[in-house]
Amino acid sequence: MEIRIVNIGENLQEYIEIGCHRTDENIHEIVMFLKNRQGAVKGTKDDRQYQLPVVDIFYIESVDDRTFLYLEHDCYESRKKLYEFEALLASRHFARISKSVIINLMKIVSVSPALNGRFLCKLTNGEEVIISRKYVPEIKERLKG
Amino acid sequence: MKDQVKEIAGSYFISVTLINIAIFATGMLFRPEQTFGYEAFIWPLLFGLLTVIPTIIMYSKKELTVRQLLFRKAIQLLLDIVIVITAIFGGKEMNASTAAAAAGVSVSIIIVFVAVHVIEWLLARRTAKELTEELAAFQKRNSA
Repeated sequence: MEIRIVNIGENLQEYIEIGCHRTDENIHEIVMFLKNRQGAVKGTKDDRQYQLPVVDIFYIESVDDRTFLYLEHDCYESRKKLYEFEALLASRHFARISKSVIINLMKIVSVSPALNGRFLCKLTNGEEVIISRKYVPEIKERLKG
Repeated sequence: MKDQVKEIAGSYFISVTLINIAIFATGMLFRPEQTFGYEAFIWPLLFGLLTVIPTIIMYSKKELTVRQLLFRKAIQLLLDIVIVITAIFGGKEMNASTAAAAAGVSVSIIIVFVAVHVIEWLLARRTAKELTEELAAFQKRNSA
C-alpha cells in the first residue's frame, strides 16, 4: 500500500484521504485509530467496554443519575458524571444546552423555536434535542470563541 | 427563578402593549363617547398584572409534551378571561349591553393571548435563525 503525504497551503483545511477498493475492517480500524488520536472516552454497551472517539459523540445526557453517550446510531453508558464530561470536553466543541445535556456543536444542523420558549436543535443523524433558553447566551458566547 | 422572572416579564410587557390596543379597539366599538381621567393609563398595567397570575401558576420547569402544554395554555386562557371579566364587570348588573361588552372583552383577551404567543414565537424564531447562522460559521471555522 502506497502512503502519500501532500503538503497543502496554510489557507486550506487539513484532511486525510484513504484510497481503497472497499471499506473493510482494516479501513475501519485505521479510521478509528485516527479518530481516537483526537481523543476518546470509555463507554459501556451490553456489558462490553468501548473506546468512543470524542468526535463521534453527538450528545451526552444524564438521566436519573446515569450518564449516556449518544453516537450516530448507538447509545453507550458511562460511569463519568455530566459535570466531569463538561470539564473534560470544555476545550472541545461541546457545550451545555440544558440541565441534563451536553452537545457536540459540530453535529448540529439547525436550531428552531419549540413551544414554551425552548429551542430544538436538529442533529446530523436527524435526532432533535431540546435547548433550554437559559443556556442560549452561553452557547452564543461559545460560538464566538 | 431568574429565567422564570425574565420570561414572565417579557410576556407581561408584550401583553400590556397589546392590551392597550385591545382597549382602544373595544372602547371604540362599544363606548366611543366615554372619556377618562389619568387613571386610565394604569388599567393596561393592572390587566397585564392580572393576566400574569395564571402564567405564574401554570409555569412549569419540566419539559412538557405538546398535549400537556396546550392543555395548560387553554386553562391559562380560561383563567385570564375569568379574572379580567370579574375585575371589569364584577358586581355590575348584567344586561344585554354589559353581556355584549363582556363578550367583546373576552374575544379581545383571546386575540391578545394568541398575539402574545405569536410575537414570542417570532422573537424565538429570530434567535434560532441567528444561532443556526453562528453554528454554521463555527463549524466552518473548526471543521477538520
